[in-house]
Amino acid sequence: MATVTATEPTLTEHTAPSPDPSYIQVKNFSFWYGSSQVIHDQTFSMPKQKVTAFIGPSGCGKSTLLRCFNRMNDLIDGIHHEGDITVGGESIFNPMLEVISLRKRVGMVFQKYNPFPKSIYENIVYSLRVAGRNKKSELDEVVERSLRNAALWDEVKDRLQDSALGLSGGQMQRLCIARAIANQPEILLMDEPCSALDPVATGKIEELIHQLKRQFTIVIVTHNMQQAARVSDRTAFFYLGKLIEYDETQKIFMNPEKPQTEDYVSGRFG
Amino acid sequence: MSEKKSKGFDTKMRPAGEMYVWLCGMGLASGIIMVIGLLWIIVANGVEVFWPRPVYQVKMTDGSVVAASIVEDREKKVAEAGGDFKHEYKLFTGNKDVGPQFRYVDHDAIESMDVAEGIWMADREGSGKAIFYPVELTLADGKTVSAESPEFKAELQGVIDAAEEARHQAEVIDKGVIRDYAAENKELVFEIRLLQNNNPDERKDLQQMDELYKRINMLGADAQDQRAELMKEYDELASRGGPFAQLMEIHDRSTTLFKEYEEYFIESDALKASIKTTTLRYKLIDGTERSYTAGEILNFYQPNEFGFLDKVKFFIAHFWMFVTDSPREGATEGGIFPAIIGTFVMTVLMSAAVMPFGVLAAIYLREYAAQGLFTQAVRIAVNNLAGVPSIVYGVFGLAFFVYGMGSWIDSGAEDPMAVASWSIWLIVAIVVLVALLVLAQEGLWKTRTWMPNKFRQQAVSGLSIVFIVLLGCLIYYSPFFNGFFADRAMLNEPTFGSGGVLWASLTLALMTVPVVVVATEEALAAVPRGVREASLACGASKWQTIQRIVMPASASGILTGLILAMARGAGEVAPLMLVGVINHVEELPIDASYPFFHFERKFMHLGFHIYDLGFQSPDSEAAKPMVFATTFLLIVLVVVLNLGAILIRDHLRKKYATGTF
Repeated sequence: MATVTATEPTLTEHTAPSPDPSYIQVKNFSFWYGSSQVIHDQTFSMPKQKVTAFIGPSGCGKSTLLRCFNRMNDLIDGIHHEGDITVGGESIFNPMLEVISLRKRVGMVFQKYNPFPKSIYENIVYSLRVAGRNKKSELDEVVERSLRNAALWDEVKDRLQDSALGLSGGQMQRLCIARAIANQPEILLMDEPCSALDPVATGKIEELIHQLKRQFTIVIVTHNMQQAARVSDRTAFFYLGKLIEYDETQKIFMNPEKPQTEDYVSGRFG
Repeated sequence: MSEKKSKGFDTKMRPAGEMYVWLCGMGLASGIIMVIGLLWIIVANGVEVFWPRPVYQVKMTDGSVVAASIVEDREKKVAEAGGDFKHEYKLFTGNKDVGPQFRYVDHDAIESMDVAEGIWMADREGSGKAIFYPVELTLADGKTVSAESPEFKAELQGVIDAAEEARHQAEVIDKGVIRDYAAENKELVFEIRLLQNNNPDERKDLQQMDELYKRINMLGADAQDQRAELMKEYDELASRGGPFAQLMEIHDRSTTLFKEYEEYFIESDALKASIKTTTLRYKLIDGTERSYTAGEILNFYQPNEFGFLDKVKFFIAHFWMFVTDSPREGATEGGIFPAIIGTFVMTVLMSAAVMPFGVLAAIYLREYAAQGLFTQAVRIAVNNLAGVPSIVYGVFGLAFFVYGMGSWIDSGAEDPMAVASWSIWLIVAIVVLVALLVLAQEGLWKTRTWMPNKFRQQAVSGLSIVFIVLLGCLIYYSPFFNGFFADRAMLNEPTFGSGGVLWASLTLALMTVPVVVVATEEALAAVPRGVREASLACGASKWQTIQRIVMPASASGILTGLILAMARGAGEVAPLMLVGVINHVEELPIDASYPFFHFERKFMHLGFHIYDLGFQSPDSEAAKPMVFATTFLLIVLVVVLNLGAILIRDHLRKKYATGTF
């Protein structure tokens, strides 16, 4: 496993060019659940330390593709794929690669907040504990850093040992983000992270995404057009398992090339 | 709201099926009624045994008089009187040494029935309850105390206390020092029998020599002539040398051993004799006088003089005695302490055996196995195991655990009773080997990545390797293994090769595995997918996810399975009869003598005790109330065990509540 060095937040403006424009590459990738194909031979790449949003109607394969990046789909019986996905030039389907080491580099936040029935503290340090890192001072440091990064520190710093299940929905989702970034992954996958939250909590998370992209490469799936427009640098529009259009977010929303994209982003279908 | 008919709403409309709430309620109500009814019968009948009843002086129309308490007043149908009902009493008259304890008397046959003022009742060792008027107490020094004298009660109580103390001391000696002697002596007896077995040609003479030795020891000090004669004969045999000399050597050791312990025998005998030095003379209600050894009276009381508080005290004292004493007189008197301990030990052992087994199996079935036709078939098969009659498990336990594994432990693979050769052992060994390999691999794997606490991890892997080597040796030597207790087994004194609490627990564990597997599977399936995915996304392996997230979250459900298994196991009787339950034990499966846990011992069990009392007792009338009392205690024990598990479960439930999902 490659060692992950903590990238200190820089003061780079979010318009700054990406250090690696083709950090995540999807190459001729197709994906099947059983015999039904949900992703059809797609090729594109995503830049490092930018936010890429996946939009599209339900069932278009965007969540499935997202879950391929940390191989979460491995849990499902009867799946198979063709083509390849690489992160920093390395294939994630390399048979020699232990999926655990992939997931250490690719964190994930889910649609429904899912904290463990443990204390706030234990939730954050979970990824360290399972990696065998148990040093108290290190864990304390990670908890504070992660919670600060997730903009949750001030709200929970006095009750770190309380159950995580006592938090509000928005707080739980930010806790899940803090948990996902605790082990310093390179990529953060977000599967509709705000769909179960109210507008205030959604606002906080969106703000957070702006902060986080200085350190992490973020891929976010969302049904909320405005959200995609607000948080992402690039947007990919999927329809029926195909990438219809993929460009700078501004371009997709202001001046899309394909009529389907225009119909979708303007709310005429979907 | 106005009564006026609104055009928009149909006020006559009623929701469909609203009345079904009554049907559901009725279902629950009948369930509750059955449970309460059953509990009421058991508790009322079981508790009543200890409540003192008044004793009446019953005059019969034929002139005879008895002192009796009324057990039951009931109707009976009389055939001759054209199906009329007659009333009869069931009377308890006690005094088993005089006549029957229970009598059925028609109401017509009774002339009068008055409370017998000042009558006494007493529990006696060996003859049950006596109902009498005391006359005179003769003390050990020949002094007599008349019943009229004011210190009579105090004197009698003194005699009883002294006897109790003597009995206790004698028991301490018998169960302590003398048991040690018995154990050592038993070894010598085994040596003798082994010697006889090993020398079939001389067996007869050896037996004769042993016989002579016993006869010489039986002789009193005055029979010197006879002793000399026997000694001559004995010496003649001993001088033949070979096995005879060996036998003499064993006899010498036996004599030395006896000398060592002789004083304790004398002391114990003296204590027991001291109990019998006092006599109580008493009068039955019809005037006949009798006497009884006062030291064998356990307690006395005057039930008709009891106030309410006295009755409560009496009740508590007798109930406590029932819980803490051993059974006496064919279990119709005394307590059921060994049965409580036996049931408890068996249930705990069973739980300890069934939990890891069932939980691991369920984890594999639910978390690892591919969900397909085969898994489904396994699941159905496991569920169906719950429907196999329990006696079948008893037969299996007898064949596999007792005769198979037990005989193997006793005398190794050579024993003809053991399950065909060592192939079974090989299978068991492979299973253990796989388990240890997994652990060792885990340990080795962790040393590579887990830097802190390195020493402990290395120790674990080192130990695992040692275990594997040892196991290899075991497998290699198993065909040549001759058992741990081969000599005893050869002389038909099996240790593990006959029923015992260990085998009974394992048999019941096997029987309750389906319950645990099903409950655990349900509990695992109920853990939301979200937290599993979250754990995996954090870089946890599958096992780490199961261990750290899934297991804690499903712990309360798993414990529910254990509670069900315990309830089923503790109440089971039929299979136990085959694998180690008996109706009277001298020794408990747990006691103060090394090695403290004696899981090879046979044991008493409350459920079997109920059956034994109800259907096998020599005095079923006397045993009947005990059946209820024992049932009551079995229920209490099951409730206590369950409460323990429920408390743990609720604690876990609070700790790992997955409330938001």
